[in-house]
Amino acid sequence: MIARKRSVAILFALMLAVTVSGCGTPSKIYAKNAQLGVYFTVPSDWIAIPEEEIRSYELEAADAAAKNKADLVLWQEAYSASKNTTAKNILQLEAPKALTAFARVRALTIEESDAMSYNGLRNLILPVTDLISGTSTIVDEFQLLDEQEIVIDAARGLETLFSFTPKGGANETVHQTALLSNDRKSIYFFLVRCTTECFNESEETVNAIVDSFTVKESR
Amino acid sequence: MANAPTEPNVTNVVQFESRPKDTDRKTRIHLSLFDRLKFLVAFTLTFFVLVWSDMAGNPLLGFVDAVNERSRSAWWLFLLAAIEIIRQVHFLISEFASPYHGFWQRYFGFVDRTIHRISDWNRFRLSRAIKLLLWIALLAVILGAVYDEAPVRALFLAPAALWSALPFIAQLMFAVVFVLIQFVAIFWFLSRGGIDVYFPDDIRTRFTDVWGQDHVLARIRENLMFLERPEEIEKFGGYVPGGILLWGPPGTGKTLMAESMAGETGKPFVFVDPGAFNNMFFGVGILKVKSLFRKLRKLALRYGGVVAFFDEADALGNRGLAPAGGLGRYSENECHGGNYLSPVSANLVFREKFVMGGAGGGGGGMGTLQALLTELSGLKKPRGFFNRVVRRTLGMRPKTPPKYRILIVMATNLPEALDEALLRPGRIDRMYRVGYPSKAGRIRTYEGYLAKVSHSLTPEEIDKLATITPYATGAKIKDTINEALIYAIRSGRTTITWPDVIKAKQLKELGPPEDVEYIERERHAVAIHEACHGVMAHVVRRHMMIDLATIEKGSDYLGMVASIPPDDQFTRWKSEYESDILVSLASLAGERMFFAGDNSSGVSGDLESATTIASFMEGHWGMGSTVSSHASNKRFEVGAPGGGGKEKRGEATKELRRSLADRIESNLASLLTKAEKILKENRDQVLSLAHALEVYKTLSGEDVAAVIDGVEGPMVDGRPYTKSKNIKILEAYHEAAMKAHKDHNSPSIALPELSL
Repeated sequence: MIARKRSVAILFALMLAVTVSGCGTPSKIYAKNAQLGVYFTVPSDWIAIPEEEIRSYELEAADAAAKNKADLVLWQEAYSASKNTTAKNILQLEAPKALTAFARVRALTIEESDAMSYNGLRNLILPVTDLISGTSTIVDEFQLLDEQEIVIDAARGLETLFSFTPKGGANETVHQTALLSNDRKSIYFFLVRCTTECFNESEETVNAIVDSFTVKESR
Repeated sequence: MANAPTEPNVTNVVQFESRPKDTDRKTRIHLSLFDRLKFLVAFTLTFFVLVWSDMAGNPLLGFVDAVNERSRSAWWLFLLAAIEIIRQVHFLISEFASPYHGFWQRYFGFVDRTIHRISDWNRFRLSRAIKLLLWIALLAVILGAVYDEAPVRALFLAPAALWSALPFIAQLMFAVVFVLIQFVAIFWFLSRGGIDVYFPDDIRTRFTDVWGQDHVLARIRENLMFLERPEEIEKFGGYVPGGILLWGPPGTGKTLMAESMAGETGKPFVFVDPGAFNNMFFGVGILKVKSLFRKLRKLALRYGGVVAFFDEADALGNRGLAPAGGLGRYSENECHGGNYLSPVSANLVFREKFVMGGAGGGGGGMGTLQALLTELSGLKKPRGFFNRVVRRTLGMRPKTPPKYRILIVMATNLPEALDEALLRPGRIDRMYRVGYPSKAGRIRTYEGYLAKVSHSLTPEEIDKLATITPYATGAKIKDTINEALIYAIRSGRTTITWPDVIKAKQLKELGPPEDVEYIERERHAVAIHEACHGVMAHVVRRHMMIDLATIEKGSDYLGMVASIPPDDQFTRWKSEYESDILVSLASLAGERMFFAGDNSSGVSGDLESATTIASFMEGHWGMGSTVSSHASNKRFEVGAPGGGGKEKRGEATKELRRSLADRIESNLASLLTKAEKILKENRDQVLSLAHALEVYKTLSGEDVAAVIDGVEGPMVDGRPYTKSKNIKILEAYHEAAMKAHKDHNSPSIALPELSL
C-alpha cells in the first residue's frame, strides 16, 4: 500500500518534471504537410516566408501557361535565415543573401506525368542536363558537385548539388531534391540555396535541413 | 442483594462509536490521495497522449520538441491543472485549519441563501439557460477543432455545414418515415370501412312500413322530434335523450325500424356494421370508434344532427360485469318479481342470476368498448390542433366544443350481453323492448304483406290466421305469405287462397314432410296415439285450440297434434296445466288401452313434458302441496322440505312433506288414471279421429273438431263418424290392426272407406 503510493508519487513527479522541462523553446521549426506526407525541419531562428507572397509573386510575372502551372501547386513553404529574404529572392535566379529552404509539392498534368524522367526531375529549375553537357549557356560556370538517386517508400528521384553564376550575379550553390511520387501524379521539390560563401559556411545547417526532408505515404 | 449475579465487566470490550455528524465537524473531511490527485493525473495523461499523437504524426519530431510544441498549443490544460492545484491546496488547508473551513462554510451558506431567494422556477430556468450555454460552448470548441477555426467562428460555420448535410440527413429521415408511413397506412386502411352514411331520401322506408310495433314507433317518433327540434325540451331546462336501445327476439323488426328512422328523419343516418369492431390488430377497433365519432361530429355540425345505428350491438362485447337489477329480462308470462323489492334484496336475487353472454371482452377486443363508452359520454374536451395548441401558445384558452346532436340507436337480440356501463342513462337513455307483435299487430302485418300480392282472404280469415300464429314475427309472416305464393304458383294459380296459407304455415312450422310411408300397422298405431292426444285436447283443454293434427313423419317426430292459445293471454292457471298434463298423458293411457297394455317408446316426449310441467307445478308455481320454491332451495342448497327428515312429526304433516319426486309421481299417477277414464268415455271419437288421420294424413284444427263432433268441416266431413255402423267397421279394423301388431304382419283388413 505504502509502496504503491510511493511509486505513484514518484511517477507523477517524473511526469511533472518532464512537463515543466518542456517549457522552453523548441530547437527547430517543424514544417510539414501531414496530408501530403512531407516533413522537414529548419533551425528555430529562421523566418517563414508567407505562402501568399510566393504565390502572388509567381502569378504577377507569369504568362498563361505558368498560371496553369501555379494552380497545380498542392503545397509550398519557404524559410529563410534572414528576414530580408522575399519571395522574389526565392524564385529568381539571383541567389538570396541568406540560406533559404523552399519546399513545393505540385501535381503533374497527364502529359507531364507521361514524359517525366530523371532528366525532367533534374531540370526542374535549370536545364541541368544541358548545362552539364555544355549545350546551354543560360548561366555561367555551371558545376555539378554531387548527384545521388533517392529511392524511398513513397517516391523516388534525384538529389543534386550544383553551383553556378547567374548572369550579372554572384556564384551560388543549390542543393536540389526532386522526387516523383510512385503513382507519378505529383512531384516533391526541395531547394536549399544560398551564395556559395554562405553555403559553405553553414554546411552543417544545410546538411541537417537536407537530411530532415522526408516524404511519407500520403494519408 | 448478597446473591445478586455480578455484572460482567464491559470496560475492555470495544463499543460501537457513532461517527461525528457532518454539522459537528470543524474541519473538512480528509480526502484520499487518489481523490486529491485524480484530476491532475488525468490532465497529465491527456498532455502526454497529445504529445504522443504529435510525435506519431511527424517522423522528424523529437520528444523534447514535441513536448515544447504541445505545451504551447495545449495551454488550457496547464490552466486547468493550475486551477485544480489551487483547489486541492484550498481543500488541504480546510482539512487542518478550522477557522478557514468555518469561514468558507459560512460563505457558502450565505451564497446558498441568497440564491434561494430567487423562486424555484426561476432558478430552474436560470440553470437551464446556463446549461444550454455550456453545451453551446462545448459545441463551439469541438467545431473549432473540426474546422480548424476559432471556436466562435466555427459555431457560425456550423449551420452552413448542417445545411449542406441536410440532404443526407433528410435521406436518413426518409428511411424512418417510410417505414412509419407504411404502418400508418395499414392502420388507416384497416380502420376504414364498416360505416355507411345515408342522407335523407336515400332510403325510402317509412314509419308506415313498420307494422305491429306501434308503441315503440310512438316513442321513436318522439326521439326523432327531439333530435330535429331540441329547443322544445332544452328551453325548459331538459336535455335531449341521446341513446335508444331496441332489444327483443330476432325478426321483430328492429333493423326495419332503424331503416324507417333513416327514411323519416331529415338528418343523415349512419349505419355501423356490427362486424366493424372485429379487427385483426389491437388498437384498430379503437381507431375505428374514434374515426366514426369524428365523422358523426362533423355530420352533426354540418346538418344539425345525425342518427347513428349500431346493429347487433352485442358484438361490442362485455367487460364481464353483472347487469344492474331492474332490467326485466324474465320470460313473458311471469310477474317480474324485482320491482317491489328493496334495492338490497333485488341485488341479492339478481346478482345470483347473472347470465353469461359475451363476457370478457367479447368481439370488440381490447379497448374498443372502452373507447365507445368514452365517446358516448366522455369529457367534453376541446378539439382540434389549432384550437388547443395554437390558441394556448397565444395565451388564449381553447374554445369548448359545440353541442353535437348525435342520436345513438342500438339493436340487439342479447341485451344480457351488453355491458352495464353502456346501458346507463346518459349513454343509452331509453330501452325499448321490441317483442312479438300482439294480435292486432299481426293482423296489421298480414294485411300489409297480403296487400302486396293478389289474394282471396277475407278479413275473418286474416283474423283467424293471426290467431293461430301467436309468436309470429314480421319476418315469419313475410316468409309465410311468400311461401303461400309459391304454393299457389306451383298449383298454377296467381292468387293466394286460404289453403295455400295454411299449407305454408304448416310447412314453416313442421318442415317439409319426409317422404316416408309407414307400414299399415305402424300407421294405425301412430294414428291412435295422435288421436288420443287430439281427443283429450278437444275435451279437456279448452284454453287452447287445436291447430293441426298430423301423422306425417317429420324430422324429429312421428306425428303431432299442435295447439295454440286463441287469445293473447299471459298467465296460466293450475287447471290449465293439469289439462296440459292430461293431454300429454293421453297417449300413454290410450296406447295401453287400445293395445291391451302394450305401449310404444313414442310416448317419451309426452312423458317428459308431463313430468316437467308437474315438477314445475309442485316446486315452482305453488300448485302442489308445498309453498317453498324449489328453485331457491336448490340455489342455496337448503334441501327440499321433508326430504329424509329425521324428526318424527304428525302423520298429516309427514304426508305433506314427502319428497318432491314422490309427490310428482303420485300427481302424475292420479292424472293418468283420470286420462284413462276420459279416453274410455270417448273411445269412438278416438277411433274416428284415427281413421280420419289415416285417410287424410294431416288435418287442420277445425277438421279435427269436426271429426270429433261429427259435423262437416272445411275439408273433412265428420258426419259419417256418428253412424254406429261405421264405428263397428272401425272397431273391426282396429282389431285386425291389433292382431297384426302382435303377429308382426299387415292387417287382414285394408283401411276402410266410410260413407254417410
